Amino acid sequence: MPPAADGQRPEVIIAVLNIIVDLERIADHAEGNAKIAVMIGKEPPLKPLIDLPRMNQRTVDMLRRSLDAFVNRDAEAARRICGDDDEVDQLYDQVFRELLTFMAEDPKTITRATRLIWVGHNLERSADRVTNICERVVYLVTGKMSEICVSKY
Amino acid sequence: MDEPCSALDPQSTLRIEELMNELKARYTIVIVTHNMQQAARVSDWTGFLLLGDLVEYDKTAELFSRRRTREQTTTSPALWLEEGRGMPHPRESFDRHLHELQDDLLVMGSMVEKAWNVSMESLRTGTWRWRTRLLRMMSRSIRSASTLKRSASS
Repeated sequence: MPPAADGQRPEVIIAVLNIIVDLERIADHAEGNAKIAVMIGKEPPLKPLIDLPRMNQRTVDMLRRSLDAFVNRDAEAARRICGDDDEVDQLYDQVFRELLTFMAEDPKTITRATRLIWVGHNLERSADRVTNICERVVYLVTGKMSEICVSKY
Repeated sequence: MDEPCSALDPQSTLRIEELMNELKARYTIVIVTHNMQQAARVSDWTGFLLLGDLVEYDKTAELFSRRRTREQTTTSPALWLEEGRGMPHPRESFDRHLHELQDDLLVMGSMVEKAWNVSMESLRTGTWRWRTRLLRMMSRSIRSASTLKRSASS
């Protein structure tokens, strides 16, 4: 890790303060997810999960890379991560539509399907938080605060 | 050694200091530094020079902790602290804390990552009992980590 550049120390502290807030909230989303897992418990699954684990994988990957970008002061990498957020959004769309067809076909699935939508929503929110981290990294490096990652949600 | 760590970052400074600790078993080392913390850390005996005059010379532990009156010496860091003025924040330790803060941020990030993976896995397999207990534990430590960060950077 390179030593903080002269005169950049306050920015680094402010960035850390911002990032921990986002991290804590992402962990809260994970906790919400766990609560849903408890709620579902031993109920038979509505369908095998495919897109949700994929979303999780993407989000966690984004998170790791965003912190790498912070440590390396890499604004380019941070911008790239924001592009991946669109992918998570698309997956969320896909999950949403798929579950909607389940519910339309058979109202008995509504409870279970809604819970899975919550999970997807938690993931989508988490990915958005990661883009906040990325914006903070871009600000730290370039000194310009810009909303580079506009999510459609 | 004349200011051996003056332009070095904290990690390199640590290496130099470790080397000095190793060498002092066989050699006598004289080091000139204007970093009080370093003097207190690495030396066994400390001399305090002001404009070419040797004002104080004593065992390091003695020199840094003994009460002195203003007449005897006006610039002892111990006195500075006693007067409640507080030490000026030394740049080296500030930077070290900043590094630690960033390291802790990475640790926090990997905890969050783990939390997500665990919760997703329990959702997928339906085996939630021990996993959620683990998760609750982790979210608690994440929370305490984040308050730690807040206090550390204030």
